[in-house]
Amino acid sequence: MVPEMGYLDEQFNQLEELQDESSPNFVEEVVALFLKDSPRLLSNIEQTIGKYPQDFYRLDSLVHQLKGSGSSIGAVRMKNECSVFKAHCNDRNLEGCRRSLQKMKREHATLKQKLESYFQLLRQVGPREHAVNSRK
Amino acid sequence: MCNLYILLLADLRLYVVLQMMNGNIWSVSDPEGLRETVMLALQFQVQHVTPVSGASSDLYRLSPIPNFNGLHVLLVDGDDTNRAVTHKLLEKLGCRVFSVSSGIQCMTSFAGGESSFQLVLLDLTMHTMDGFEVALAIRKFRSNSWPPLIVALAASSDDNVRDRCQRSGINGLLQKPVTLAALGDELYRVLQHN
Repeated sequence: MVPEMGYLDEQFNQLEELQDESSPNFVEEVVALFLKDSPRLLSNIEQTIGKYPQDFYRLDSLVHQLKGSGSSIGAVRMKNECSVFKAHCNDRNLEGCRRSLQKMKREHATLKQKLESYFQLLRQVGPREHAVNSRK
Repeated sequence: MCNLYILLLADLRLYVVLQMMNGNIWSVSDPEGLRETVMLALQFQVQHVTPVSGASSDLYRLSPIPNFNGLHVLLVDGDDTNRAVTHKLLEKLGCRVFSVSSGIQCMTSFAGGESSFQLVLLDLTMHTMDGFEVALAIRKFRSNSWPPLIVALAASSDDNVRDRCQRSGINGLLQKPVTLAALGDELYRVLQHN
């Protein structure tokens, strides 16, 4: 169950730092926004890969978006896979893009599951005390 | 009474540490036992839940967060996730923030005229209207108040981007993803210079 490489980087810590009394569910809300938009982007990417003639410009633009929102919540593995995808776009390597997309979808599914478990656990443990940084 | 600490590492691993009254410390990081441990924890008084970085370095700034005392900022970013995060970062820095999701909305906010924005934080990777076009449009917009300062958000801060920013009348540039420290520093620098 425990992965070798972390799924989230310090950007996620920053989100938790930003959570306060005025927005006590900030982290969950931001993650919800990401999980709302990212499936649509992944689906658009898939559709665009299937198109002929190939539109690498659009593919790059879509992955760029996904990379941007992923990195702002600290989804480091997704961010890295987006970089790989972009490199394939640059090389006009459609097969590489296809493989990369499959990886991105798997990473996304795993990340979603882990985040949802995390928030569920927080709810069980204590609604008010979670994610408070002791160092101010 | 016991103290329970639940540590969430940045890679989503969970450690539960229980400190008994006599000072003994138990820690559990076994995934199978975790659910049972959490149920047990509910019987104790939960004192503290702290996110801990997996890295050894201290990721939390020890220097104080600057406060911009109600600086009126217009945030322009087409991505919902990024806009939510940046909005909160600005609020944390003491700014008064109004967020829009497109270049068109940005220009409408200016035309609205009621409140004058002192600074525009503009994401360059927008789709309906190019970020540089928006910056130029803001510059051209005639109003009684001083033209606002513009700080751009971009995926890259290479020379090409910096060049284009300068030519579009943009005063500052931040590379994404944005951190509280970097945003505070760049806003401070831009305000100092103008």
